[in-house]
Amino acid sequence: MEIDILKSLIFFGFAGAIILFALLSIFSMRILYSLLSAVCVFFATAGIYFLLGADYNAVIQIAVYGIAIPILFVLAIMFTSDKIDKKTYLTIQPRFFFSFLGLGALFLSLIYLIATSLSLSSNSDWIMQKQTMFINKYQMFSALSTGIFTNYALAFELFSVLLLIVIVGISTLNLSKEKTDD
Amino acid sequence: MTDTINLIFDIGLYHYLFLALVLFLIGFFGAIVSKNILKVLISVEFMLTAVNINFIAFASFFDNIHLQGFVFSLFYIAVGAVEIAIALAIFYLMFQSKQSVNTEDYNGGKE
Repeated sequence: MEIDILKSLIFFGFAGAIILFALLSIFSMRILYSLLSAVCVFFATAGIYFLLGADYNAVIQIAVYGIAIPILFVLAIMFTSDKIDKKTYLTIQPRFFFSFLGLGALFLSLIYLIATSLSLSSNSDWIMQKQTMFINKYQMFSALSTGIFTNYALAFELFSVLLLIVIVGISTLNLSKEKTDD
Repeated sequence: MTDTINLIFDIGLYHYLFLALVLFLIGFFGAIVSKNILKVLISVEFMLTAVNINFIAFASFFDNIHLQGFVFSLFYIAVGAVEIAIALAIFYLMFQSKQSVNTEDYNGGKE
């Protein structure tokens, strides 16, 4: 079977960037560097979405996770910046080691499950699936608009209500704080 | 040997699942071990992103007609943004009383 070398290279590039920057984000000493690495992770994720044919989702990912949320974080860092970053580095309590061991065990067991399901040829067709049919753009946009405006119209309206509740809620939180200050 | 090379370099669904698994575990680990509240929130975002990769991968491989995973991914991004906005607002209110970004200072009043 012919292997699409270019696609594999692009995939491994993006995947490597995601994992590398996610680790950098967790282990960097300064919170601002951590945030910058997180932005790189979100941009690389948008690349993965492009590979999967979800162009619109990739654009939304860049707009929301790549730009809007980091701005919120930068504001929070500005208001709360602490010069001593070492004090708020990773914890060295037992929960560090327990979580490391527990998550390692979970990772290995899931890898084992994936490997055994690959070897059971009768049941593993779904996981061995290759992308045979590529999604074209018109199909994607028609599916998205049909999904949002007909099948999930109620959920879409509920999300607009949710956003309204959030705006009112955050304003109320800050107003009540100001009243108690007076 | 050729089979192994094919398995590794021929991009299939399991590549995306594996990537999402690793990203989710990194996010989970960071959320548990970080002391900085902002870093905990960033790690939670990693977990949300990993779930989003799974949504889009499954939709793109199995649901070529309806693409419902794409729609759910859009909703999920909206929920993630809402969650971060509320979390940062609450964090800022808490910060005004304790003047600290360290999670261990917010231990429910125990000293």
